[in-house]
Amino acid sequence: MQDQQKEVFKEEAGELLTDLEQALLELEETPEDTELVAKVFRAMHTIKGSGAMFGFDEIAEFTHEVETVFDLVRNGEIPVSKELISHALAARDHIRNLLDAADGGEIDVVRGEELVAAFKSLIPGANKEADAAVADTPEPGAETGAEITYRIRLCLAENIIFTGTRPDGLLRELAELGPCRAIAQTDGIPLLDQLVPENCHVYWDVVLTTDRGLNAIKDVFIFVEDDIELKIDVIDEGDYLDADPNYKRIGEILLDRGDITKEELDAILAESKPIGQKLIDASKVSPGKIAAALQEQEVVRAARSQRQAQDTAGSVRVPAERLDLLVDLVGELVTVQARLSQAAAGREDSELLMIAEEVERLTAELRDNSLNMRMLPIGTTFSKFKRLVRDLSNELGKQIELKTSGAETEIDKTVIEKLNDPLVHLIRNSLDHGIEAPEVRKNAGKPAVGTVLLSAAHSGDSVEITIKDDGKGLDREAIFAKGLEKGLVHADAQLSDNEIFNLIFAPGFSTAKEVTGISGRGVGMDVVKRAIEALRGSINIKSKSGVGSTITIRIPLTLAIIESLLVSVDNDSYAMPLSIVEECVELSREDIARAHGRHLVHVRDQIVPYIPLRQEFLINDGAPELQQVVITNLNGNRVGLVVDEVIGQHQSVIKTLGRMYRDVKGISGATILGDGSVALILDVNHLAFKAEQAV
Amino acid sequence: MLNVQQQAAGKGEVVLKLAGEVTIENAGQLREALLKGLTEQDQVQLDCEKVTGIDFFGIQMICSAHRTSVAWKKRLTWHGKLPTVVEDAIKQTGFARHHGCDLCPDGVRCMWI
Repeated sequence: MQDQQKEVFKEEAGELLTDLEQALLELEETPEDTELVAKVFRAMHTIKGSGAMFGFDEIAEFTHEVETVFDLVRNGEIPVSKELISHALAARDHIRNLLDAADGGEIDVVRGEELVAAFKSLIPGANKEADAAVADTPEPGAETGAEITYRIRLCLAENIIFTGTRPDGLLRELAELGPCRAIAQTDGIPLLDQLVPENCHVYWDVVLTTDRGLNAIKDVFIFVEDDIELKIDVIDEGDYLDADPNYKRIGEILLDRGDITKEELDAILAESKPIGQKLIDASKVSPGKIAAALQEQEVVRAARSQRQAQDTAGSVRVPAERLDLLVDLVGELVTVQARLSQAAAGREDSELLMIAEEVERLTAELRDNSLNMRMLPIGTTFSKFKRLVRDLSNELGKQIELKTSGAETEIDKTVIEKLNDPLVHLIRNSLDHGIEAPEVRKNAGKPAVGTVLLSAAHSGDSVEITIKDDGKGLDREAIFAKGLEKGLVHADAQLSDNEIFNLIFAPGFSTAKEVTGISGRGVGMDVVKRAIEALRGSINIKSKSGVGSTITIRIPLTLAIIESLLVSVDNDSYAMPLSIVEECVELSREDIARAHGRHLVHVRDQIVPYIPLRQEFLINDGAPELQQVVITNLNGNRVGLVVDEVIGQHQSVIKTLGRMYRDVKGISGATILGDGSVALILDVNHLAFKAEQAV
Repeated sequence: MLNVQQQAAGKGEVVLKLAGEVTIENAGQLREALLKGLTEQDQVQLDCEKVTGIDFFGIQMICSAHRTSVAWKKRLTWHGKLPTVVEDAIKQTGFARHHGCDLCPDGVRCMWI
């Protein structure tokens, strides 16, 4: 149980750290935003509190130091500075490391101490601001009932010490029950010359939030029952979700507590100062009592707001593996449903046919719903890049702003994970090679601050991600020269801009004269291209010298199930993504003869190259009289695939081929058909690439 | 064990250097020292840097001393930094606050703020 809770904490802390990073980066842009400061503080506070609760003591201690500083920022005592944000971002990374180290890694103690010292240096003078919170971390293993907030007024007998009870001990025990704030009412403390040092002249107003119930509170006082006056009121019931977060006003609380009468309150209310100040001015209520009432108000409002926020979120945390399993099972169901539909169609049984149709409809809905569950907004990845751009631009001495749009665009979780590295590489490239140094930009009449725009948008069954910079653009001549040097192009080749730009995706290609720590090692773009293609996506570059470059990536929404076109070659079935298919045309023996051995076909006065799959798969004879060419569109280029027969549309649940066939090129997976047979899924990108190389 | 040392700090000023435990067991001793200081001097400074522990009665005593100083138009202030053990005890016993008590006139800062 404890381990499970620790896992939950680690997951939640991970999310909080992501939020924290985003908030810090936003705060850097808008330092006056008090909401953001509060958000940062809350994130730190939650990490500290739950860290201590689940035994992550290093995290709790470290975060406490950072929280202290942000408390001062919140109170306007320390301004938001670049230095503060840098320290806070470094602290966020350190907390991340501490979290990771909890699995048995090493803790970088020195780094932690450096950061703590850095934060302390930000505090002006010694900070004696005492926070009224006594303890805000409930004991581990606390009962999991609803958290109820109590107001406790505790008056001890003057001679309580003679019963052997120390007031500090009672308060400590109360604090062990849950978040607890005590205010000592000191008005009764006599002057020194009349003070009996062993007597207790103080009473307390305590606001305690606990899930242990009323009896646990009473148990604290079980041995001193006769020597105390104890008044316990419930001021907030944990399960009362509809409660108005705007808890009672100060006057009402004081009236509730019996610290003031209705008449006195009404008379005071006639003036127009804050009620607390008016009451103090009128000597009706002591400042200590106002402090206790304010505290009650704050605790209850915070508890209610938090509960309402949780309620509106209304989400259930499910491990990703369970969702993956669900999607796998739905995949199986889709396959079985296809068999059912096929079997029903073969029988003349209208009742069976009706059931099969019903199952088909439900399966489709189930499929869409379960796939949707794995969809995450791509914005979670975007926030990481803000940090990347910030750190890199400092390192490079450039001024660069990352703008994002479409952060809410949803895409399959597994796709997002696999997109991370390629995107990091592309953004690094933009920063390093694309955006110029501020002086160069100014001389070119551009603003000193360069912009990288990262955007995402849905486009059909794909997501289009664009990285656009306003830098110097790709150097056409340099790329061509490098291509020549590497033997990728002929000196007299007439290439379009697009063809030249595509050269940078060749393995080992780099035009950077210097290798920097950021990019220019020439191990990047080919890896990026392969990673994108592994996601069944495509990548395209547009660039204009002096204006900037735009890289567009298209990725399918999901990797689990695709709409495909089913074809057959020599009685075997193959599938290809329907999204790339443009049309199907017939190919007769005469057409082949007319092309004089070249693999080209005329489609409405346009010449389209094709790949004969029979030849590709080394099947020599038995080609039908009339073959079919499936014309696909790959990054704007039309390529045909010659097959025996086009069977039709199919919903393919993608299965990987397993380790043995991992290195087979031209096939990206397999799917099971309605009759139980297997169809291989064609990797059209690779087939086209191979054919191109052969020419 | 509580050790109280008096150290003159200027005209009408004394620093009471406390070392050890400021608890009910030693409350009488502290009361005498505080009373003597506030009676004989205009300003008393409390140095708690060497305090290793403090309980509710110790804090109540200091609070009483501060109220006394206000009533007698004298001054009682902290001298130097408070050790964590004292700060924690002030919080836990509920003395930490944002407003002084009704004895504190304008311009006199409460010991617990």
